[in-house]
Amino acid sequence: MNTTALIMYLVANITVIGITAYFFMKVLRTPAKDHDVDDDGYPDPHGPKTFDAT
Amino acid sequence: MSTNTESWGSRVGLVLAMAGNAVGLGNFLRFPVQAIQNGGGSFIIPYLTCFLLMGLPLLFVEWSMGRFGGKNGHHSTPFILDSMTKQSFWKYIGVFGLFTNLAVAAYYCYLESWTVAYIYHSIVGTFSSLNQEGVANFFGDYTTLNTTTTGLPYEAVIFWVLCLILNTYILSKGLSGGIERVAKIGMPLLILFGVVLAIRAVTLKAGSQGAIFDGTEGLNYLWTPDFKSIWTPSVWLAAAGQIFFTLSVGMGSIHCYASYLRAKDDVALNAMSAGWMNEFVEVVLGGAVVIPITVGYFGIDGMIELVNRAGGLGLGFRTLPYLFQQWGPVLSVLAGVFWFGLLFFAGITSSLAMGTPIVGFLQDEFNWRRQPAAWAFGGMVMVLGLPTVIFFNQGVFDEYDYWVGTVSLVVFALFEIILFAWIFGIDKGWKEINDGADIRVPIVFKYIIKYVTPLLIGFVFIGSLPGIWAQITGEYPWQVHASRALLLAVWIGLALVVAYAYRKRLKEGRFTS
Repeated sequence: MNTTALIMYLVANITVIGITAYFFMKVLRTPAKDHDVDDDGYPDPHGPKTFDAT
Repeated sequence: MSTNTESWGSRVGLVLAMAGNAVGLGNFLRFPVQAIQNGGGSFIIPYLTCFLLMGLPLLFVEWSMGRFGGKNGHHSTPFILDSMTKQSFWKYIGVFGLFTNLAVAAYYCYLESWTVAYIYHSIVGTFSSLNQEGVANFFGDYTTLNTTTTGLPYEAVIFWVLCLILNTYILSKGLSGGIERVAKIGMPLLILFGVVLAIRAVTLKAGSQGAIFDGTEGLNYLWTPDFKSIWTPSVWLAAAGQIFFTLSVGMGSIHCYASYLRAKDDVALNAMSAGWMNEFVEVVLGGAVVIPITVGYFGIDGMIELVNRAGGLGLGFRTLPYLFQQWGPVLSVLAGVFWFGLLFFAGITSSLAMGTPIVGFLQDEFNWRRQPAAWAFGGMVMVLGLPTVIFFNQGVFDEYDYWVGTVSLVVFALFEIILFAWIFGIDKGWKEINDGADIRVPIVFKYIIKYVTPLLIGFVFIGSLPGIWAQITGEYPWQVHASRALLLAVWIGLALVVAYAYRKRLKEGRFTS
């Protein structure tokens, strides 16, 4: 590969992989919310169950 | 009271299902071709810019609209949009969110069934005895219904019906028991298959296994930037179009998935994660399979000729099965299963998302249980999809794809961004996006959503007008004209059903906002 193509390839791929991994890890590590305490006044048709950790 | 009280089983399942909704065959077959035709490596600059200015904002908007509608028990766009404004005509704009999903599923399930058939043919070794022309012709034979490639009559119909039954069965199993489970299995497998094929493609060496060039020659061609092209409007139009179609925005399926969130669940981080996962599959994997392998055997000029003749779909179905045969008896079977398996998972995770709004609508408005609603969707897809199967070679499949899979998405997205930013109001909208958010969305997105995204979508729409005019005025066989009339009739029919559902709500004293 020529140098400019290699730079474009690496920059684009590393950027996309890095950001994807960052946000997905954040999804995995963010604790579930407690939906029993709901103060917005909306009736929640989907019940009080919270997300599992995974 | 609606029977629809389902919810997602896990957050990872939701993100994978949303990413699966976005990841489709276009990630592997359309993106690399668009990049090659629009400046090579420099295409990534307008592409990622459009992702930030149009793709991500639309994801935020659709996720938060969906969750907002879900709070009031709405799981499809007619009444999600209706709940956001007092103007009653918006529910008819929301009809696009039912129409698009139903009509795209009608032809997409046929496309999906090709991948199942090609997995079967890869395993039984059908392609091993064919030369390049034979493999290319196989596709034509397969889609010509009265020609058989297995000995079974109407095999394309058989694979299509099997695929429809599979989709309907999974849909009938519900969100967490069906869709989420498939996403949790399908998405990791898709990525695994993609990584294996990408490694194989870029390590392809000239002189080995019949290759004439290194696979990296293809990467070199794909990523060599032509910076002059950045200032060409058509390149930006292509980049915006690619972002639009790769994220499955403007369809109504994201609204539907998000409507099953609870009131305080995050939408910002989820949207960000699912959106970037789609970019990973498209840029990192999609760019590293088809082009390097094709260039390895045909060179740059040969690859360009194949792309011009048959496009990305042609490379995927007419060319790659032949090239895999050069890798020996074992590796060719594995490569065929991995490639078409990857396309199958990309397809089924999208087609399941298309079924959910229809099922949700039937549950919400007519109190149907999930199972009959799912089978009703399967039946509707079968009836509407039949012309694309029977008249594939007359261009009905492409006609559906153009009007439903292209024009309809842009029209709906233009309306929904205007509704969200200007009628519902950006202040309320911004609050919706940030309610329960697990990340801090930069304030600049508030202004992007209000000003930049509507302009960009308008730019895409105006840019596509010459194509729409050419499509309308072109000469086509009667089957194509009939398919247009059918699609129009389906839209009108759905609008009438929505009007009936609205009157039913009023009669029953059920609120719509």
